[in-house]
Amino acid sequence: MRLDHEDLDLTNDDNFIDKEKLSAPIKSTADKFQLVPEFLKVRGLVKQHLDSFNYFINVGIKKIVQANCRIASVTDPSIYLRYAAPIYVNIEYVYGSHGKKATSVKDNVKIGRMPIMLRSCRCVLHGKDEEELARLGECPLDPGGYFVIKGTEKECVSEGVNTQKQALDYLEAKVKKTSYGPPPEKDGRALYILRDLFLAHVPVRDNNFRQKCFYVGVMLRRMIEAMLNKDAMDDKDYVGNKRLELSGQLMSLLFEDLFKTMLSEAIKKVDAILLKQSRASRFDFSQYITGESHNSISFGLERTLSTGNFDIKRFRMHRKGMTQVLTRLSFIGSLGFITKISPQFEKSRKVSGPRSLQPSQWGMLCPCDTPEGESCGLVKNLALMTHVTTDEEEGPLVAMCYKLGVTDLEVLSAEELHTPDSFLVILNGLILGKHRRPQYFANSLRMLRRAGKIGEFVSVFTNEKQHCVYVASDGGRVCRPLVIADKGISRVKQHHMKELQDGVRTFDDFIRDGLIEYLDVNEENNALIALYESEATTELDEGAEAAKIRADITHIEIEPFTILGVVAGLIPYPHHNQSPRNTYQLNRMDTLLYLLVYPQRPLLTTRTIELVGYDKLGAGQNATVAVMSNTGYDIEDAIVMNKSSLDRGFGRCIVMKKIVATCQKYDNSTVDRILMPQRTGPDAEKMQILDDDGIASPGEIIRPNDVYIYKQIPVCTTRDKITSPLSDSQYRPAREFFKGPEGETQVVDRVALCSDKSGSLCIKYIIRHTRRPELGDKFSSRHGQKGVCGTIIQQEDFPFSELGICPDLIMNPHGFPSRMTVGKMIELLGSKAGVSCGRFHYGSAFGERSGHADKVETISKTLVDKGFSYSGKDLLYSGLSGEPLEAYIFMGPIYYQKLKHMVLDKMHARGSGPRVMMTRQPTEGKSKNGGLRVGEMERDCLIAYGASMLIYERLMISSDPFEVQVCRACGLLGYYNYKLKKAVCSTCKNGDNIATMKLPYACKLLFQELQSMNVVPRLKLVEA
Amino acid sequence: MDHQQEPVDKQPELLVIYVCGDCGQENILKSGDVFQCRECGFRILYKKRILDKKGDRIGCVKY
Repeated sequence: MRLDHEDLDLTNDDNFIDKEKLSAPIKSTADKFQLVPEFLKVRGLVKQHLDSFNYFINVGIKKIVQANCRIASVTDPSIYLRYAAPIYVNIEYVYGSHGKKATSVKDNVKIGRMPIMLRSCRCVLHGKDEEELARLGECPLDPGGYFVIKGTEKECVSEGVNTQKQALDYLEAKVKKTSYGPPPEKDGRALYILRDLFLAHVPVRDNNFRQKCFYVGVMLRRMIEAMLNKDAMDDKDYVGNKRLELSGQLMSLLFEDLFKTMLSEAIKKVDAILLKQSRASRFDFSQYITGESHNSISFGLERTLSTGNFDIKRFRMHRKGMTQVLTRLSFIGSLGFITKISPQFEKSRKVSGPRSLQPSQWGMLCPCDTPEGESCGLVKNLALMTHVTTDEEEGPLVAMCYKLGVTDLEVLSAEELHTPDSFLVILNGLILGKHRRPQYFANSLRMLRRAGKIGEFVSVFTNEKQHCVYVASDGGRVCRPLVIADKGISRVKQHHMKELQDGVRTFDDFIRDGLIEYLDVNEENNALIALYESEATTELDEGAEAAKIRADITHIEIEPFTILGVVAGLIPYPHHNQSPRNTYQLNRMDTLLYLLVYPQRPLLTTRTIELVGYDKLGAGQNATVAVMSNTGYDIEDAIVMNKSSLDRGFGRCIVMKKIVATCQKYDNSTVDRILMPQRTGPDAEKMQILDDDGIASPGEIIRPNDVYIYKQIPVCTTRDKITSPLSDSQYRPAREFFKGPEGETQVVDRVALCSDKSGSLCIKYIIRHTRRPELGDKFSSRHGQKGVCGTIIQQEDFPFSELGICPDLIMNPHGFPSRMTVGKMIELLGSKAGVSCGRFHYGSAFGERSGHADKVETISKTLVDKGFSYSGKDLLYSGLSGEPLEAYIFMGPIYYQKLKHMVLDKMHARGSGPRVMMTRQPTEGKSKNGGLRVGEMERDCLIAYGASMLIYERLMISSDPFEVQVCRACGLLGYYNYKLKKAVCSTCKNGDNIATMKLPYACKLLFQELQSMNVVPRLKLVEA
Repeated sequence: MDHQQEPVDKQPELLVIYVCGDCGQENILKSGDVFQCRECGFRILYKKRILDKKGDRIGCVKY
C-alpha cells in the first residue's frame, strides 16, 4: 500500500477543501436529514439483531464447528470425525474392522434444526418487497428481528457486559478455588492455568510467556496509577467499555455449548462400544450424532428460546429472562421492545452510578427511554442511528499495524515499554507493541478506514492520559455515523444530497467516499463534533479563540434528533417538556391499546414518526381539546368527553380474545364428541349460535352464558380399553359456556379447527368485542399526561365557538403549571395551524434550527392568516346558556391515545360467592369472583371512628363466622354430639360447662395450628 | 329469504363449510371425518362465515 506522507499528517488534510468555497460567501448548509432514512435502510433499529444473527449463521457457526472439528475416541485415537459445514455437517470418519482401517466420507449429515430469526438472511421473508410480503400474509411494516417459537413471538434482549478487566479479575479469583477441571498434565496445573486460562486472549507460542508478562505488567502499572491518582481510575459506567451481546452472540454461545455436549456424549458412546470386544454390526460413527434420538441441538435451542433460561454448563452461566415474549399491544411498543438493552448485574444494589445518565451515551443510547421504578436507568434503549458491531477479522489488522510502524513487543525491553515519547498500541485488548508517533499512526489507520481498506467499524482511539492507542475491531461495540468535516467544513455538500435524492447515491456510497464514518464511543473522545455545520463555519464575532475551535472540528452530527430512540422520537417538541414527562410518556407507549377503530395520523408529526412508519400504523386520534374547566368533573386530570364524538367513533377500540376448546383423546381410546345442538327445548336458546356441527358459527353475536361448543365427555376415561362404540348414556355433557362481562355482547370473529400435538382436535375461537369509551377509561396525550374520562356530556351542553367548532374533550388547565409540558401547548398550536392550512406540521426534537420543527412564531402567523388568534385562544359560547364565556379558551387538536386500562376489565363487585377452602374466607381477585378486602388500614380507621359493630360485621359475619363449643372449665374447644344432642368437651370428657359462641373460622384454625405446635390457647369467657 | 340461504337448512344434518387455512379450498366435512383439507392436506381449517344464515339477523343487508 502506498500512502502519501503528507496526507497522513493531519486528520483531515487540506486537499479536500475546495479553495474557492472558502472565499465564497457561505451557502445554506446541506440538509443532511435525508441521510437518516438512508441509514435506516441499511442499518439501525432491528438491523443489528439481523446482522448479528446473520453473522452467527454465516460465519460464527462454521467457526464453532471448525474449532471442534475433530473428536477422537479416547480408547482408539485413530478413529475420528471431522465436520465442515453448519447444521448440515460433512463427516469423514474412520471405521475399522479386524485391524484394517478405512476412511469414509459422508456429506450433509443433519445434526439439528436451528430456529431462524425473522427477516434474517435465511428467512423466507429475506429480501422480499412490501408487495410480496403482503401476498405471503405478512405485515410489510413488521421489522422482523425476533424468533417464532411454538407459535409465540420471542425476542432476545440485548445484554450489556462488564469490562474485560472485571471479567479477568473475576476469572483469577475463580481459578484458585476450583479443584476440578481438565486432567493435570505433566506441566502441572499452575502452568496450565497460566497458559490457557489466565489472560486467555493473549496467545502463548512455544511456551513463550513474554507477552503475558508484559500484559500483567501493564495491568499492575494501571492499578498502581489508579491507587496513586484517583483521576486515572476507569469509569465503570463508561459506555466505551461496554459490549452489547445481541441475539447472534447469545445463540452462538448456546449452540457451541450444545454442540460440545453432543460431541462429548458421542465420544462416550463410541468408547463404550469400542471397549466391547465382539461387535456384531459394522461400526458407524455418524449414527451417534444423527438420528431422532440425538436431536439435542434443536431441542436445546428451542427450549432455551421458549423459556428464556440460558443455562450454559461450561461457563456455569444461568440466566433467566433472556428471551421475552414480544408485546404486540402496539406497533411502536414492539419496535421499542426490540431496541431494549438490559444489564447483567442485579437490580437490588443501591448504587446510583449505573442508573444515572452517562455523558458517553450521547447519541448511542436514548436519554429518555427508560422504565420507571426498579430498573430505572438500568434498562436502556438504543438511539435511532446506533449500530452494534459484529466481530471482524483481526489478522489483516495486525499486519497493517506492524506495517504502519508499530514496534513489535518482542523486540522491546521492559524499560522501553513505558518511555514517555511513545504510545502502546493495543488491539482488542492485546498489546501489539509501541509506536513513536501515535497521532500519525492513528490518522493513517483512519485514512485507511475511510478509503475502505480496513473495516468501516474499526475504531482507533488515542488515549493521551494512558499513553495508549486502542484499536478495536471486536463485536458488540455501539457506534454511530457522523459526517466528516475538514476544519469545520462538512464534506457532505449540497450536490451529494442532490445525488442521494435522485437515487444515484446510497448511504454506503457516502461511507465508501469517505464523507461519513462510524465512530464508536472511544473514538468520539478524539473527535470534536459540531452540532450544526453553521456552528462550525459561522463567521460571527470571529475571535482568535473561536477560529481555533472551529479549526479543530472534525465531525458534524447528521441530525440532532437522532440522539433519541425510536419511541422517544414520537413525542413532538420533547425539548420543550420537563424531561421526566418524556420518560413517563415512553413507558405509556408500551401499554397502548388493543385495536383502535378509526386510527389517525397525528396532525403534528415528527421525522422519526415518518421514518418508523408510525403514520401508517397509528394508535391514536386527533381530538379537539378545549383547555378549560367544565362541570367540575375534570378535576385531578379527569377529562370531560363529548358524547357525540364518542358516537362518531372517537376512542372506540376492539378487544380480541382467544378461547380454546379441545376434543380430548383418553387412554382407553375413548374420545370427546361434539353433538348437533338441540334446536328445541329448554336449552335451545343458549345454543342459538351453534352450527349443526356443534361449534359456534363465525359472525354470531355471543352473550355471557351462551354455549360455544356442545361437547360430551365419556363417563369413564381411565379403565381398560373400550373397543365398542359407546352408547349415549356413557357420555356426560360438557357444554362450555362463554364467560364475559354481563350485559355486553361480543362477536365470534373466527373459528379455527386444528389438531394439537397429541393429535386431538382443537377448536380456537377469536371473540371480538368493540368497546366505546365509558366513564373511567384512560386516555393519554403524547406528553406523559394521562387522564381518565370523568363524565360524558351531550354535545348540546358543550361549549362551541362562533365557527361552530365543538371540542371532543375538555381538559383542566391545572394539568399544565406543575407538569410544565410546554410541548403539549405547542402541539395544540401546531395542529391547529395544520388543520387550518392543510399541511402536516412538524415537531421533531431540536428541530427548530434545521427546519424539522415549526417555530411558534410561524405557527402563530399561520393562525392569524386563517383568522384565529395568534395565541390559539378562541371565543367560546356556553353550551348551557348560550352566553359567551368570560375568558378566551385555548383550543385546538391534540393527538390522544387510548390506554389499555379500561373500566370494563376492572369493574367488579360481589355479594356472596366462593370461599377459600382452608380459611373459609372469601376468595381474592376479580378472576375468582373474590371479595373486596377491608384491610388493616381500613380497620384502623373504623377503630378510630369507633364503629365497632361495623368491624364485627365485616371481619366476622360477612367473612367466616363459625359456631364453636367452648368449655368454660378448661377453655378449650369442644364439639357438638348430634347423637346425644349435647355439646361435649373432649378434654374434660363432659358437657357441663359448655358455652356456644361464634368465632371467625380463621381464629379457630389458628387455635388448632397452635395446639399442633404444643401451644395451648385457652378461651376465658366473661358474661357480657 | 334470500339467495344466500342454504337449502339444506331444514335437513337434520346441516353441512358446514370449512375453508382451508393454506389454499383457501372450501371443504364440506361431516362428523367423524378427518379434519384436513381435501385439496392440500393442510390441517388448519376455518369455519366459513355465512352472512345471515337464518335470515333473522337485525340490521343485516339484504340483497
